[in-house]
Amino acid sequence: MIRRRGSLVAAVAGLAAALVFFLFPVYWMLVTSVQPPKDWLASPPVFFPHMLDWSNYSQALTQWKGFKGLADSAVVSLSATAIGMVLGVLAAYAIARYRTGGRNLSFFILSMLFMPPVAIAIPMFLFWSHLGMIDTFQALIVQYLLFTIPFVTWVMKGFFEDLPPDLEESAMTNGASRLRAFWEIALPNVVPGLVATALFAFIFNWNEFTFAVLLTRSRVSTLPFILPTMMESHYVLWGDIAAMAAVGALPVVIIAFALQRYLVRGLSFGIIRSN
Amino acid sequence: MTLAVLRRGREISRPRKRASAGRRFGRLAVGPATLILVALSVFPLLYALRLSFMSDNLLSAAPMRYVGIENYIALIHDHLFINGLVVTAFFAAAMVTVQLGVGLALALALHRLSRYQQLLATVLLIPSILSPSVVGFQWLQLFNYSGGLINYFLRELHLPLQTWNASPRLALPSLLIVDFWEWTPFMVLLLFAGLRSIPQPIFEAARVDGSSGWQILRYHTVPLLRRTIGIVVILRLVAEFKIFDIIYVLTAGGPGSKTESLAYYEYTQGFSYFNMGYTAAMCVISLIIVIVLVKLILGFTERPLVRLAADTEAP
Amino acid sequence: MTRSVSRRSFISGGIKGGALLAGSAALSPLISACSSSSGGPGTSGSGESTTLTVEIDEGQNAEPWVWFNADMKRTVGVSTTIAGLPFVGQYEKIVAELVARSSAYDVLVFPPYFMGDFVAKGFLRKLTDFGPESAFDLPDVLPVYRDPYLKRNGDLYAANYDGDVLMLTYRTDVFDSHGIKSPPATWDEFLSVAKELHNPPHMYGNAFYGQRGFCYAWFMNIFAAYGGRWFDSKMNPQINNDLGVKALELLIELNKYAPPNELAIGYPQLNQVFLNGSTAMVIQWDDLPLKTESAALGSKVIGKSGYAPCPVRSYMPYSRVMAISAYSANPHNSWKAIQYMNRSSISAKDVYDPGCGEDPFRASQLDPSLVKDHTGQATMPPALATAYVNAIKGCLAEGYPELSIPGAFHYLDTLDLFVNEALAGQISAAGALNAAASEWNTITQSLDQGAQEAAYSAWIQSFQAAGVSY
Repeated sequence: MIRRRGSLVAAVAGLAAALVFFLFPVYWMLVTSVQPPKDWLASPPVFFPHMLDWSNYSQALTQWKGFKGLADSAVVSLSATAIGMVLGVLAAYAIARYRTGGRNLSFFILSMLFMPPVAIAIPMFLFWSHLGMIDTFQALIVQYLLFTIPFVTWVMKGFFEDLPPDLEESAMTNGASRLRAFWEIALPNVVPGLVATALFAFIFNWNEFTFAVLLTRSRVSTLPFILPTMMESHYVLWGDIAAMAAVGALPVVIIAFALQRYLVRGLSFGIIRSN
Repeated sequence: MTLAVLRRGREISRPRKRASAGRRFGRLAVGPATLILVALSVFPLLYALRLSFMSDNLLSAAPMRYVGIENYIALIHDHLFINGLVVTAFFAAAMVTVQLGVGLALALALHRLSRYQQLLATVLLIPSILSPSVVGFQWLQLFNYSGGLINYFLRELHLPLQTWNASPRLALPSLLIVDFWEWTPFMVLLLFAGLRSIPQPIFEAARVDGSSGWQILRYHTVPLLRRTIGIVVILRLVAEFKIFDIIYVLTAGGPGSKTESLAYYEYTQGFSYFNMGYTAAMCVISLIIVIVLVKLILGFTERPLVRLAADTEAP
Repeated sequence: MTRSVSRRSFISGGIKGGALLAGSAALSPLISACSSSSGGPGTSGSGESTTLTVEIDEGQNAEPWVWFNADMKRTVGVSTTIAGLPFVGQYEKIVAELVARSSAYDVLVFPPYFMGDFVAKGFLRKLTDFGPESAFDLPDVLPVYRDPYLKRNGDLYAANYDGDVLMLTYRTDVFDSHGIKSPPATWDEFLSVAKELHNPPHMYGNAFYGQRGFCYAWFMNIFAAYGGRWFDSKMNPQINNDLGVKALELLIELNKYAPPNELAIGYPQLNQVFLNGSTAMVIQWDDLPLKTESAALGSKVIGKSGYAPCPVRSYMPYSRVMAISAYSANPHNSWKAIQYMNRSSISAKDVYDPGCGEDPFRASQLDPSLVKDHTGQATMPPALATAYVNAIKGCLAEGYPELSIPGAFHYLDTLDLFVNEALAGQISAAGALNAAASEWNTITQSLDQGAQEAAYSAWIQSFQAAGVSY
């Protein structure tokens, strides 16, 4: 029918425009990252550089401590995500299956996400410095749990609520412990959700800015912390910043693409349907 | 179908012994998470609450003293606080609606395709994967007056050049563009996932009935997506209230205070001037506002549990 | 049913949380002992580390520490690592650190307008605790950069690193082609020259710092020329009188003859806008002339610039001094590092280098033959070097001091916000200055009126003793 084809044309056109709009700045960032300083703000701009100048990358990685940024970000994000997933999934299961804490606990956990980091930044800063733990991995990881756990709990709660409890019930009447029911039946059935949740949690931790800036100095310096320090000198170092940005984004983009299968499937099962 | 499952989950009856064992398990499972959250949140929140009733400037030689609601009263008269509220409210309202609208349109477009949906969704997601400060720097370069790409295109099209993030008129719209660019893909992904979970037969039935595209959208798709929409709206609303990173990079609250959001003003008062008591009062107020808003939205989206069953029946 | 379960689990959770906090508080001395920072390997005989952490604003101003690190190690046995902070935002980061008594920084490099707060809160050690005052050759330091910047209550807390003053840098070729014989000596002249030379998009009449952060200094520059003062003896703000309004209105007027993105112009952009040849006059920090003659930095105006003091008065924003953090674990070695960098033989090498932002602060440095970079290469032809040094002398002869009492950052940043609002057209000049003055009163109240009056009067006296008219 004409109406159907018309809607397909509209869809394709819309998506094409969206692709250009959303991806062109990314392309531009990549181009800038391989250009020498004279081309960064050149007018007219150089859209297709002939020669790739990798010095921005080497500078970003060494002089601006990009390698350390990558390593530190990886340690912090992976740890916080892993711990957050374990604790959050358990909590989510409890709330979904046993209504532990009722609506109050559920909302309390959700409300952790409302807090502007600024609101708790000073008390947390004083707290951590009183413990002498400023500029440590442990402090940052635990701090990130404040946002990771609620996010994981809330999202996974939806998944568990959507999973019919029949299988677990029958397993338990057959003598399986609750833990086994959880581990062997409930979990495997929400794997797409687990992956999607873990991925998003990882992304949020990887990009977290406020507490990274607040709680780290030199022993720990995650990538978001390094970027603002690059805005100085004679002129703004666009190339170095672009290179650092690319370096920072690459791991996450790779992971997202590797797990893309789970992204859509995972989200469409639980979080969307119930809460 | 969802409704029936939920009902069953709630109504399963268990013998008492199993019930208490279940509760124990539940509490054990929830325990560690709750413990950490409480430790990390209750202390700063109570501390902030107490601070909001004191005059505490970390740099002042004068000691901290109790001042009751003086901070709150001062806030009402503080034009920068009001400005922060207005900027943030405008930002949140504009971004949530626009991102929702465009996000839904794109999600529908994706849904309309039969192939490459997953790949496209992931590729489109890249802006949301980038760190907010990175996004800020990217657009700082694009907005650059003399060397930035946007003005280059304007020049080619013989349109007047704009100063974007330096312009009193366009600074806030510039930030809106950046935020829109950064988060709409996230919306698209979630909404698309939601669309995917709506059973196809519903659409087919409606189409067979002769409903137009718009009617399907209005009477079937959107109501069925209400949950999803509620979730994405809450996520974005809460995030917009905290908006800070791109402002820090692109405008530093300026020109003047045109882009000074609530979070940015809180940062200035708390971290530049170290006016702890005053900042705490501000945070308490903004927290209350967000809680109220979220409660409203949750109430709105959780209500139609009953209506859902009615919706899935023939209209 | 559900309610009671939730309350119980809530309370038990809360108790556990409280126990956690209490336990960690008890353990904290242990934890902090294990995790206190103290630089790198190797300690001197006194038990201090010989690798120090220097806090400084990131970028070009950290360069001298890098250039001289090896020689410092050879000469005084101490080396340094840089902890770079952003230029805008430096204050809060240092304070956050010191309020928490962190030993992360040994040497602090910061602008003297932080001095009032830092000394009042005990963040700095007295330099004389570790060595004689004579080690810093204070008689050689220009009076205007000496006691007002380095001493409080008669005690020496800091040593100079950089001496800043605003200077007028202009295009001699553009002036010549318009028949303008000499740089403007009053602000009315400045305005009319800017108007005359303003020819967008080829040439902009003038440019100034328009971004949020330091635009207040460019307002003060004009206000100073009109005879303005910060406060009166009772700490009543003086910025919102007729002179202040006139000064701010002039700045707003100058915005019409400036580049269109004036409000996005910060320090690097202000350099750029002159170096790329698009602006006829800029009021900028006095390290710009070194960059105008540098091909390496991409200057398109080599040989075409002239330098002069700002009309009537030259405001002295920022500058940098070095001090020892009160919480440093290595104060003796920090003293050595500071004394080394402050030596006239060492500092003379960086104050004329275009690769950093440092400017002369010693009388012995005001010598045209010293206008070289840190490797000894001349950075300007002799005639220009002489003109440049004379311009600096001229600026300092009419220098106007930057507020440096407790709360200075708060006063200045507040002023900056309202000046920026006025520039953005959000508010009138009079409205902006009145709002700033009202805010200043609030700040003064919160910091104790009596203490502020005393601090202000002491500060003025130190400047007047240095020969500054105020």
